[in-house]
Amino acid sequence: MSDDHRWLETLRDEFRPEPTSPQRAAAFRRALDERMERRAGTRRFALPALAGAAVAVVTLWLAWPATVPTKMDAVATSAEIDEFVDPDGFASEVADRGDYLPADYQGLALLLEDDTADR
Amino acid sequence: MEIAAGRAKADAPSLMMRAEEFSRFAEARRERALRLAFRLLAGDQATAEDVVQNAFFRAHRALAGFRGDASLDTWFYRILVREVQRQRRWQSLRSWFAVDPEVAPPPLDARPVSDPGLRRRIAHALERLSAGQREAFVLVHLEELTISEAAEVLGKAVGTVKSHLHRALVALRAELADLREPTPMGDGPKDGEET
Repeated sequence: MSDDHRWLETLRDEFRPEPTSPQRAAAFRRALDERMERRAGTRRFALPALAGAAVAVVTLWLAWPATVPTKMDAVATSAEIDEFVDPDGFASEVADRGDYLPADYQGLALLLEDDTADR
Repeated sequence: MEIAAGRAKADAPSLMMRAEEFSRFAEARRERALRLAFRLLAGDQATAEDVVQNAFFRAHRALAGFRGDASLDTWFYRILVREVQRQRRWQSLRSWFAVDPEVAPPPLDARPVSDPGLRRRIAHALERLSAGQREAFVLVHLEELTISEAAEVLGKAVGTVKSHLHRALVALRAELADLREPTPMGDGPKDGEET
């Protein structure tokens, strides 16, 4: 046997764990079995429960009646619209038409304004 | 159902292993797994037992995904080595945050099988190796796997394992020179030799 082989043999012999006693071996086996059983229990009950819950949620979602927007009873009159939109208030916010309209539209706006004034 | 033992290729029916059959599989490999973990963890027996149990548990959980590309043993030892690596990362993280690692007392029923001082020295020398060197050395020279088996377990190329082995041997020969016979060095196994 070569020098290196003997040296490695020494390392192998000296560097090993203590032999496991029968009690420790049994405890190890018991603990491992318990973990595996716990996991099996989880799979047996928790997974079907989760799957059932997911199916219930999807079914509920599909069966739930969709919310339909309420019909308007009548066409809103301009007076009703004015309750929501206050043109004067808006005008007061924008002091000058030039602030918010490009030049071309300013001309159109003037025409419309004149038309309204004529009526 | 018979569990494929040793280095034989695992057959497909063994994937359907029941819990009690897996317990037998674990029982047959417990001592060797414990020895491997003990050596990779530089002599920490209590942690090695925890790591081995975690490895068996993970193996049981992952059994359905075992494709039979490698032998069942190689596959299990790969899981075990990864579990050791995870444990070592966790230990280094704890030491980083200066949390004192729990020093487990030796089991009461343990009878020393070797010189504790010598074991400490070997553990210390192994600790000074890099993780790759330590794993390669332990698997090939202490656990007597072939280099290709060690490469498969470690998920590394054969050349990488050979290189790790060479460096580990150089470092350990220097560190533990006094454990060698007084005859001059040089007639040992060639670097990368498969044992």
